[in-house]
Amino acid sequence: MSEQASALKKYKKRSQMAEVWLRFRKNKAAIFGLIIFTCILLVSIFADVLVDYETKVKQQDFMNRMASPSWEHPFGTDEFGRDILGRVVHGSRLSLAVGLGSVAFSLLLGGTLGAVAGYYGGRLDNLIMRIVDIFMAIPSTIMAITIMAALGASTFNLMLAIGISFIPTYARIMRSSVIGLRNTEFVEAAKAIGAKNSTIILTEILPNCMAPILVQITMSFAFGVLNVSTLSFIGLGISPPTPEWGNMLSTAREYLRDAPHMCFFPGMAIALTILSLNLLGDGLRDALDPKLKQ
Amino acid sequence: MHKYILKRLLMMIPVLIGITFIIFVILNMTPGDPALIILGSEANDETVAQLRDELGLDDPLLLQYGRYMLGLVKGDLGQSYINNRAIFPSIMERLPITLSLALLAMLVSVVVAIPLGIISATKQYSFLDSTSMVLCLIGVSIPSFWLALMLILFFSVNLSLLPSGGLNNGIVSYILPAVTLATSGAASMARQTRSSMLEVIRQDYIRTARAKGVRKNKVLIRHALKNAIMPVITLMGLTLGRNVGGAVVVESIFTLPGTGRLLLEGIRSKDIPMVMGCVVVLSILISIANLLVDIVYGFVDPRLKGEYR
Repeated sequence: MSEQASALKKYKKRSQMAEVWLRFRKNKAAIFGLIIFTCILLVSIFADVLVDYETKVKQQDFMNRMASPSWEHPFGTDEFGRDILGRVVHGSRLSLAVGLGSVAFSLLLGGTLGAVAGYYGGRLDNLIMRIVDIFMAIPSTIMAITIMAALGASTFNLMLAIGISFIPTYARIMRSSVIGLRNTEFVEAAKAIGAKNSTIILTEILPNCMAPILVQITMSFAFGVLNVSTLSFIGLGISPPTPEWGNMLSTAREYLRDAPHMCFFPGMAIALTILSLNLLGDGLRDALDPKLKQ
Repeated sequence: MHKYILKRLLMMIPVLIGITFIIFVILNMTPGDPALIILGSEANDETVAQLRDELGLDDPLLLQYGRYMLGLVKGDLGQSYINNRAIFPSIMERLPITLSLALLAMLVSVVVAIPLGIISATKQYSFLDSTSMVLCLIGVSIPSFWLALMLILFFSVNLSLLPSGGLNNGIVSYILPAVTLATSGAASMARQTRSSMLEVIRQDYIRTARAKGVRKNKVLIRHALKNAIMPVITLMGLTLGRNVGGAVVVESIFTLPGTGRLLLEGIRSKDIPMVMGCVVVLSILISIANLLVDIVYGFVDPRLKGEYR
């Protein structure tokens, strides 16, 4: 009896986060994604410690142009004799920062719009969601290209251009979660004791719709990183000489026949980042919502 | 069914107005005076003012938008700032290339993804299933422009099998661009097909059909796929939209003279009417694609049709 009771107690003590972590931990692919992504994140945070910007990334060495990978330059050198490994390492910074910025921007704006639409309902809901629908009808690449063309290339504009296309998704997710929760007892209870609407949304409803939002964050982060490099590749994002994976590939394309190694590594970096985020997102979705697991 | 299609058609109008308005407003924020772009920076103030007046650039934004929409209905998207050519015919000239690329990529995706998804679902956790799902994961993660470069490197530079760009070889020229564009769509479609098939084949009516003695393949296609295909069709609509957007990048890599390249050229030369025209035409196309998807939905799912009888 006592054994059973303690087992029950132990089970009950586990918080929801611990439950999620337990399920997540069992998923090998998700853990692999988490490890890879953590490594990429650490590399980008400590880029300055790992590779010196002045001597490795900026310094040109014309005796050593387009050298194949070697011990000295594991990823080879580019058309100015700069070390590609160093540029890939430093290139991660802008890609991740802009990706993260665009996610934060769209989460804030889309989440607020969706929460307001779902919570108040009625005409306001209708108005907001129709506008969101229109934004959703413009394909993200075209939207981002248009915005970059109009506002000009800068890191901030890039964040804006990429972020705007995520807004509809966050608004929709947030709205449907809020609609599902707004008539629950705990929201009614909060209303009864006189809590303000904004307090109810932020402290009662928001924590309960974190699951789909969290999954969407990893997915749109991956898409954001992809879009940064795509825009830079076609010359509308971050332009050289600042190292960025997309613009490195854009230059490398000119030398495809003579120096294929220049194309290989920056692309691998993008693919690996996106792959790790996708694995992480899939794992999170399965761990947060066991019902969805197939 | 007619009512359903009509309703979808009517719903498209406000969306199209919204899309064009948003694009119009965004592109109006472009710095630089269009009159100066046309006349060159050495033009004197008087001629600039005159041209601004002619182009209606000093009118309120809404009036300019109204004028643009009036033109759009008549198939007039204005004139290029750079070479004074009418925009609409220049886009129409290039559009078939973009369309064939997007549709071809779509075809490749569907032909590869749906059978792959079905097989993976029926043989869950088999070697084939895990291999194809790993490949799909790589497929969604690989950036299309990098894939394009790798394909060129392998098939054009190393093997000299396929052309690396241009349109001189007819349909063969489309192979690499279409495969590039198809990859991510195919990968997500295969994943979607697999997961919705998995959901469906566990249902009771599938077991019933099998117990009745219907052959396995027939059950899979007639009973399971018909129900599992709905989310895949939604994804197809999304993919077509993404393909049109992706075509911009792919056309620039494979030097195909499509609408996407026209758009990028327009951006480089600050030719706002050209950019506007390309974006509007591509967005309208995507809306039409979504409309088609909705109509297909009506045919596949009789419940939807029933609502509008």
